[in-house]
Amino acid sequence: MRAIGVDPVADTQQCFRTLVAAMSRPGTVHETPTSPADHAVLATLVDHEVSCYTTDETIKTALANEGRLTEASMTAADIVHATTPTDGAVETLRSGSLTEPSEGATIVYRVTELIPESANSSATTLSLSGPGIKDTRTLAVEGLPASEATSISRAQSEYPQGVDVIVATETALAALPRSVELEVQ
Amino acid sequence: MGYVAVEAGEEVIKRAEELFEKQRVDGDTEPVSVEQVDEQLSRLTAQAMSEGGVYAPRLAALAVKQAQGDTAEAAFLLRAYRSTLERWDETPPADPATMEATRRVSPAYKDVPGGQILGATKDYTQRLLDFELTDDTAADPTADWDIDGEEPPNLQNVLEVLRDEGLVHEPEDDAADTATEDDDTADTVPGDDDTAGTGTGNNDPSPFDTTREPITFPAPRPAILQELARGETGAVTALGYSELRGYGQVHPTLGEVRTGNLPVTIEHPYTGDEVQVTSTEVTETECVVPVYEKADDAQFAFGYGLVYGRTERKAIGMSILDAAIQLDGDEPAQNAEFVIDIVDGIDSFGFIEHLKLPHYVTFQSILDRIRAIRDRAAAATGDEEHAAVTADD
Amino acid sequence: MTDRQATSSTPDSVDALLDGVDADGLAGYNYAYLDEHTKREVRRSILKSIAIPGHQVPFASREMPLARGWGTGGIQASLSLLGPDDTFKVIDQGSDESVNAANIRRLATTTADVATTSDATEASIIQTRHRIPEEVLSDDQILVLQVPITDALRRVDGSDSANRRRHAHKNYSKMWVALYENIVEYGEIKLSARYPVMVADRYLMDPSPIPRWDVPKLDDADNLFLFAAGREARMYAVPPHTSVTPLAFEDREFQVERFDAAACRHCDSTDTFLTEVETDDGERVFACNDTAFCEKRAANPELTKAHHHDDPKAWGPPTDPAVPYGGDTPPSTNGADLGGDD
Repeated sequence: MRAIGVDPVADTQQCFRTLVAAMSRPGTVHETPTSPADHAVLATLVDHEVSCYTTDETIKTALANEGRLTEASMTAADIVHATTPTDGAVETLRSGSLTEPSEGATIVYRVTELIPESANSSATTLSLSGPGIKDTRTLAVEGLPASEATSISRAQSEYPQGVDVIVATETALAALPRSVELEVQ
Repeated sequence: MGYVAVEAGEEVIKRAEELFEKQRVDGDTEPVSVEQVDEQLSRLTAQAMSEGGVYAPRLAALAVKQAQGDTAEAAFLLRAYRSTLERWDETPPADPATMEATRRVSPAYKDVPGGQILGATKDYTQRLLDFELTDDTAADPTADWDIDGEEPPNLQNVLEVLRDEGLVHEPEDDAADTATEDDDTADTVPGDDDTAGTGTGNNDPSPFDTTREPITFPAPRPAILQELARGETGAVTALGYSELRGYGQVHPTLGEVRTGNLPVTIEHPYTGDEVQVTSTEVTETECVVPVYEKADDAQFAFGYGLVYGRTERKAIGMSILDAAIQLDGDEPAQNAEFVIDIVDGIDSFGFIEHLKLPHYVTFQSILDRIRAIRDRAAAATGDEEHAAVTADD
Repeated sequence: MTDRQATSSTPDSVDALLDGVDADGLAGYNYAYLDEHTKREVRRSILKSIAIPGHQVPFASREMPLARGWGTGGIQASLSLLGPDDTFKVIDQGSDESVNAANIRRLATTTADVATTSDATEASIIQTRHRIPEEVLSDDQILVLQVPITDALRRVDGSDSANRRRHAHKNYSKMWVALYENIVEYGEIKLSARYPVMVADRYLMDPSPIPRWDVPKLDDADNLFLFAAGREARMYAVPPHTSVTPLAFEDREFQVERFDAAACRHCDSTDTFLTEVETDDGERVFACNDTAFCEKRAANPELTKAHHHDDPKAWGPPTDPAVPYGGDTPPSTNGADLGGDD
């Protein structure tokens, strides 16, 4: 992982804490220790025990060189790396079963910008409520079309089954676990 | 003030460990060497390896010495050590037919190809304490045996005879037939690759490893076999016994019980050829059970057991439990979840002994409840009556 | 034989492990003892557990140098979370000085190079066996609870697979019937610690053997709660601002432990969880269970449980059943009713 600028112990630990903060408080934005943030997340979570879908050659090579890559198709993978919006394909990802909902996929989107608590943004604005959120929280995501956000909401509509979403810019990330109610404004 | 509020720090723990160690060194005798434990108490070290899930005789001897003979403690040491080892490859399936068997008996048949080889056993010996051992001369009673230099014969597994006749039900067939509606991520055919004696070898490339993947039920057979192989010897024996004792339908006939050195090979990292790197002493057993699931295609149910070392009762118990779990049913030993939940020695030892930890908060909560219940009951019987009762106490 | 080389690194206890570490420096072990492969497994399961509050996520629990049942799950969680900038507190039954807590703390300090504290307001991560601290935790703190029994439904069915199906379909009728039968038989719900709660109105959860006193703290908290079981190999979580409701009936409300207006004999507190001790002369006295907070209160009796926050919201009821809750804490019991009668 050093090849892509990620210290395999220290940076992954910090990135993990970033992910914990983001998942515990959906819609809040947190800086990752290395950039780009989506690579940081994959370097933290992916090894051969989970299957991964990505088209990003840099991260693919970095993982494969350490024997940490088990590839799978988008619809079969545990961890999906979406370098561009999926055009609704997020609704076809693994969503786990009723007894084993945690087998639902995690999808990491590469986006342009995250603006927390934004009232009037031109970017897709999400209104969030549920566990981790006191009342409601808004998050604007530049680089995620409203249609994709609607698809995410549909992919998360069969709680506890569903997918868990991480949106990552160059330097930061936010999380939308399946437990949140997501409204596209 | 008590057990907990002592200023603990390192000092108290250190002292407790030193007292434990004192029990081992306090006498007048010479310290027993690791080599002595390895050579002379091999059944003990084998049990530690078997329950520890790692084959390393010299380390097992060290663990047994350190644990002062406590097999659960020794197995725990080995498990914790195993946890820290890097796992860099899996062997190809090992074929027990390649085993150099030093003992092989087949109860199913009077005579078998390759012969009945009694080997080293006390099965037919009378259990009389040998007081002469207190003056151990370590004389080798086989010293003047006349040994011919022939290669030991390759012993075909007796169960193959029955398989060729189509009499043995293969567990893999179940998986192919059963559709599991619960799991989207249904386990594929549970090929059992590290025990190639199961007949139709499945080419499942990576066997389920319970130390790397959590078990949920229904569990694939490889996971169950692994847990049984690592299981606490007493638990496996007792549960296997329950089937024979009447709490189940498994009264098996053993196809064979075999002990020997099993070659362990790996794929050479450069040439790709299979090379032998070591061998492990194992005991293997297979059994058939006259319980026929399908009346129109009657086949024996079948059980498999494999353990490190020579603990035959564990291998046999394991094969009984394998058969019992496949047959499924209401009896304890036929309930996969019950068996696998309780058979692990490190889990049971840890949790039972954890009861020694302070529990006074929980207990305070329990005291609160019993008092509330008693108060309510007392109030219900009426004040007068209550007063009368207390006056008489 | 490959075993010959490795005889030097056999950890039998935390003590021996750390002797080895002292000798070779940290060279023999990875940062925070666990290898990165293990940390990834634990970390993935932690994130999934946060995403599905109250649901027990299976994870491939590793053997640790501490015995199963003694906190191996909590340790795996803590060691996967800890970094050199953290401050770590470990308590067992409310005490930092418990032998087992000291042992766990040692493992962390030596392998993860973290600062430690007994002050709950200073710790970024707190690992606890069966208590939630008296002082209110904040949004940058994580509480890791050690879990012996992962499923509230274990009381009504020993089979995990049957219970997982019940959780899948939110079918908790067996639990309700069991509570009802309690009341019919004893007049009270007799469950003491490990009181079953509903999380986010979806999953029935076992909050670990914390006393009922601590259960209301889980509801709408500012901090994250992680529940880790090493032996049973399950991880679950309650994120901040999540609803957590103890099971109860309209006419048998959830009751916390009360101590009849007893006060702590060290600091005189009447609003902390106390435990009783029989003295040598047969007297029964009470003392704060949270020893670190007790020290603070002894020095400053006016200290509130939220003294370190602007918001005075406090946790936990007073010891006297006749005294209702104060402050902003939502009462899960109606204090005035709890005189021990209906």
